[in-house]
Amino acid sequence: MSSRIFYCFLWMVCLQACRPQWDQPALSMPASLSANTTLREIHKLHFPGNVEKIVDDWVVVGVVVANDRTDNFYKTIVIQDATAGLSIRLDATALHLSYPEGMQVYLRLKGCWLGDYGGLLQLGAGVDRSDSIYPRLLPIPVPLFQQVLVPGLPNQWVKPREVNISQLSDSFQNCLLTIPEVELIPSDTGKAWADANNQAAVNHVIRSCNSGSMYVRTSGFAKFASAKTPRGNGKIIGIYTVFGWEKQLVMRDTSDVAMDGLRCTGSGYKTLLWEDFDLQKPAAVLSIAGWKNIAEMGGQSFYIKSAFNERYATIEAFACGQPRVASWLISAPVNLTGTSGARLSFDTRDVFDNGASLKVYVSTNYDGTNNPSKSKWTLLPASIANGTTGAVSAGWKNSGSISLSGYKGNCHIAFKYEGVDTGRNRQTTTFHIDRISIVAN
Amino acid sequence: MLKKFSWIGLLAPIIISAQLPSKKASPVRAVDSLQLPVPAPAEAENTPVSSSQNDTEEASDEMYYPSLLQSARDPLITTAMYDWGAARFSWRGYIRERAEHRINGALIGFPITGQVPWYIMNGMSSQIRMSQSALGIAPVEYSLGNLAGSRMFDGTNSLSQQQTAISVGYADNRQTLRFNLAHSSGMPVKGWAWSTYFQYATNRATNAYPGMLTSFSGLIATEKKYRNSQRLYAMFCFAPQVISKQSPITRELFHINGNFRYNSNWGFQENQIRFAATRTYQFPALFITHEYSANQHTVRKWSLAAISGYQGDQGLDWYQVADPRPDYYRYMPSYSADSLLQQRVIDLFQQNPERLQINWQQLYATNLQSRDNGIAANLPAGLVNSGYRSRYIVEERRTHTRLFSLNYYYHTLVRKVVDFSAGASWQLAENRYRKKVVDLLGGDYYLNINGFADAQLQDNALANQYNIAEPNPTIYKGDYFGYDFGFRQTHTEFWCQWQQNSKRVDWFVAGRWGVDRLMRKGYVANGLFPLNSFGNSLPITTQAYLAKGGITRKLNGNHFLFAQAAFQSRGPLAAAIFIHPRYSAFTRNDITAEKTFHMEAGWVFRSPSMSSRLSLFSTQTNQAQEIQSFYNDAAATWVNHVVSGLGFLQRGVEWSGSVQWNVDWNVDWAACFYQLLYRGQPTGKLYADNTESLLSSEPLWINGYRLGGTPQQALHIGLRYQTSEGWMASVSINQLSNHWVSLHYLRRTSSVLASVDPASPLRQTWMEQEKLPDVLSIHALFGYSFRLTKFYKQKAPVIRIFLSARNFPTRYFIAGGYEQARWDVNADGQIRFPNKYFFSPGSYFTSSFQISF
Repeated sequence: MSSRIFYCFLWMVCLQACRPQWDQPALSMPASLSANTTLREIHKLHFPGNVEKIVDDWVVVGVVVANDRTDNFYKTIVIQDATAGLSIRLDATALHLSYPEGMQVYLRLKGCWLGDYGGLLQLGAGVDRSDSIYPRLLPIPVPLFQQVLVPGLPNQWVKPREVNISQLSDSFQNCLLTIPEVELIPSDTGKAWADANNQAAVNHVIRSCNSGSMYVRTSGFAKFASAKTPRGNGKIIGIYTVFGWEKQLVMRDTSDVAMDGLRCTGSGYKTLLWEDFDLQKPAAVLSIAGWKNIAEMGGQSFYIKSAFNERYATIEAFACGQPRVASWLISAPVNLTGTSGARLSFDTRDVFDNGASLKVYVSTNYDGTNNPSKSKWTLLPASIANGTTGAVSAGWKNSGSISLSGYKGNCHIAFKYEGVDTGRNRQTTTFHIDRISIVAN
Repeated sequence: MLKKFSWIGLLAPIIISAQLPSKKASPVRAVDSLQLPVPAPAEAENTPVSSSQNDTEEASDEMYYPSLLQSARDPLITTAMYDWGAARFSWRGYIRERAEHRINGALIGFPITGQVPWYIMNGMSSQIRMSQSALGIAPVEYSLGNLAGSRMFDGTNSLSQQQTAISVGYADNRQTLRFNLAHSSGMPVKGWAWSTYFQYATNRATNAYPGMLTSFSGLIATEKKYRNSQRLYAMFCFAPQVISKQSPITRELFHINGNFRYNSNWGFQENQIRFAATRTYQFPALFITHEYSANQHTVRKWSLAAISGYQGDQGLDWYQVADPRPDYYRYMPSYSADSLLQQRVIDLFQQNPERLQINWQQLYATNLQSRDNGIAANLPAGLVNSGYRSRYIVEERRTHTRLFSLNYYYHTLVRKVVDFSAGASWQLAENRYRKKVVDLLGGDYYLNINGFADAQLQDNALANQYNIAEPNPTIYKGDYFGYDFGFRQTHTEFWCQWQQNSKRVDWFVAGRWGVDRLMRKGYVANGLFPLNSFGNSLPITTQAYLAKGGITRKLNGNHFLFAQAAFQSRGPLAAAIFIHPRYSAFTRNDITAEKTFHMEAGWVFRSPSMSSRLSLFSTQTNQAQEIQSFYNDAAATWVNHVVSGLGFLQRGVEWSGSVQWNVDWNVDWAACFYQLLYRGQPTGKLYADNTESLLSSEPLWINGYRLGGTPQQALHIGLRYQTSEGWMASVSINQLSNHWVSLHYLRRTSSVLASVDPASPLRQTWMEQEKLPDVLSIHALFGYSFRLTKFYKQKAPVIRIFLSARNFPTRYFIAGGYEQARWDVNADGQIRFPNKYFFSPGSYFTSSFQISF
């Protein structure tokens, strides 16, 4: 066979066989539409209980303040402009990937329908009149998404507006709000946000100290449905909705909740642990029931010292002649289950500071033995006195309010001293510790 | 002399690039369509399965319709091949496994699937030709055959004649251009004969025809003869191809779109047509045959075939995002309960037809909003908190196949009265199924987890893991993922046949016994069935046998009366044994061999100028078994419907013949009147896919319903004119009717009917089986061949030119349809999941030009 024909054929095959790879397409540019009305004006078009079709070429622009990212909103996004908010029903899932929070969205409203569910204004695309008494708003089907919703600029975050419960009204429907100084009623604290097992929504009651109460509604499908409700007082962020006469707040996720402060009707913090060593024998090795005083290395134990009518715990590596000193003072167990806002504080003083260290730890699995290193200890961010190279320190230094909110069950606080008393670089700082306290709600 | 035509090699790319109309070397075969076995319903928003169909140009690409292939002997075979194939005519309604096919003596049907791998010789029908065939259970010397007959293909025919041929062809139904080149050395007195063949076919997807085909076919064959008694011949063929898939559509979609070519499997990306669903074949095949003729009456033949490669079905996969298929039922106007909204959606589709295609831009945009949620196990440091987790990808579902076939047959004539044949075959077939990431669509990685198993996570933390040894792994382009399992099957058979001829009576008896050993091989342990998914399953052994016999009474030299009967027993295929092999080795507990009894009688007339055949047949099958997988709305989960005790009755009358009017004119006809029905009352057991729990077991009320998938009545009359001067013309009129949609069994159960109001007219619609419209088509072919003797004194090249017009006058027709596996009712009382149809293009032209020398 002619080699020329053969090579020509191969050349043709190669030429035709070269197909372009599919590169990532250029993403759509943000829309260049402009709004000709506001969401407040759109609200005025609706009569409760009715459904209305928008026949004019209205265009509004808003920012997505809620979507189905945590499945607490189902087939819905909520947008908000400077005047009002609107819940948009969309017949699709994973809307957060197409309409993330903070995305600006233009709505072409012509042909859409307004309706309400229990008084909550919604936007849809049609009406199901199979029940003539209760016409049902139909969500916007996927083929119409591009026609109705036009994405704008991303990351246009809306700051939640702070509103008290008593100030809530329909004008705040579908708006992102911060409700300050509220707490869950006692029977709703420490409970799951919703019934994840049965996928059932749950309403919890929140109240402010003096301006009423409302519901926090969470879907049983929400990703955080099994998380526990807080026990303290604080603020909560969410989308304001209504169902009939009920005022409701719907969270986006648990980061919208900051409620670990002092409750309205509580008698203040409970003190879970207090030790000021005033009942201890001075100049003796510290020995308190339930506490552990462990000389892990170097043979130095915490002991009680007394000065100026106060007694305190002391530890040092001075004059022990040990190459390494490690000493532990471990508190009795403190049960933090059922508490909120737990905090540790204590005072320290240093003398002849030459580099030894005093650190504070917490453990939830300490077994009470003389081998504390077997347990898991977490270093706490305490402020410890330091820098006093002479015999007299400036005074007691408070550790600061150290949060123990994340700990549950029986917890131990440990003060660990480490020093060196051999060689040229000795670390034999003397530390004093007093007024150790743990308080919580 | 060849150098004079070397310029053609330079001209050809110009021709291809310009896509000028050109002529095809041989009559273009009827366009045919393919149907995947699972209609692919979906969970509300999360399922990745695509329902698609394969549409190809060449009849040799009939991966689903084994239908009758080329033979000049019986007009019925030729007609079914060329004229009725587009309407999916299946001879006597037999399924593909009912026919036996061999290439160069080697049995090539895949025992695991029952398929015949036509794609290994795609585009090579001019080189690999049917040399022998048998209609039905009529005896042939090389094989025992099967109920639907037997075909022997020979790839060495071209070796005998020294020739070089170049041809270019064009068909405008799919705007396909073909170029092929063949060369044969001819049979030398000594030494090896060689032939080579190449074909390249392609089309460009356009708005008018959004279909894509790229195929390359190559064949090398060689033969050597020894002492006139032995032949050793070998053939290597390779036909890689990529074809876009055509989706079946509902009436609603057809009415909205108005385009019978509508295909939901593509969309525009950067203004180019990009297909989501394509099929790829990569199957090199080697055949080696040794033939020994001890004398002029006795032949022994050894044949070996080795086929290895893969079939890749590309499609979209997605996880917890909106369904990307533009024809998803929720996106259709009929889904809405508001007529105004319905109209609004219709208007949108009609004014913006691109909305009925895949929105590739949106898929990329979605992926680029998707961040890791912390469950990826081995995310590289650079992607933590910054990487994009793809929610949509393009995957390729690969079936890696290896087939090894060793065959022996012996044939002898004894005193010209007794014709004895015997043979044996052994096949080893292995399939491996898994998925490959083709394109992450803008994302950085994908997670290899089973979204269909999320519902089981509450009770089983590993439920959604495809491989519990590597939970939550990130996967990248080119990685394999998902299920990973396979089948291994050996098939052994022995057969013999005795034919005896006498003056007045010919008779034959034949028998075959075979044994199959099948096992499932799991390559990963998944979270749903960790104890029953990894490793080899227990082997399943089934036996199969076929006994047949017949008698022919010769009334005189022209008239013959014949009667034949056969009884067959064969075990079910792997797909009917393993309930959900993707996940586990769970098998049905009632593996039963299917029994078939066949009878046939008829009259044959033969004369030098006329031949005719009239036959009546009846084939009754019992105890057949099937397994269907689909999404069940009532159970809200994927299910597997294990059907037992299926029965079929296939009977009818056939009449075909031809009359050679004179030297130039020939008339032929073929008529088939079939009655293809379901018989009996099978039982269907419904199992949940994720838990293997039995959901229901009830009888299926399908007795008397028609078998779908083929017209049951077909008529043909043809006229052909052919002169010795090289002119030829033919025209034929064909009518196909009595074509019914394929049934979904579960619809005809008491529990489903109980959900439909007895007083509702929907109940009647629910129970009825839809009949498809009749098809009338006229084909015409014109050709002229001549030698360029004016310019060449010796061995003048031959020019052949053909033009054909096919499927006139219809613009399109419905080639097939099926009932969807899901059922529900819209708010307006209409069936939410109506029947889907395969449309086939109607009238089109083809042309071809060939030069051979």
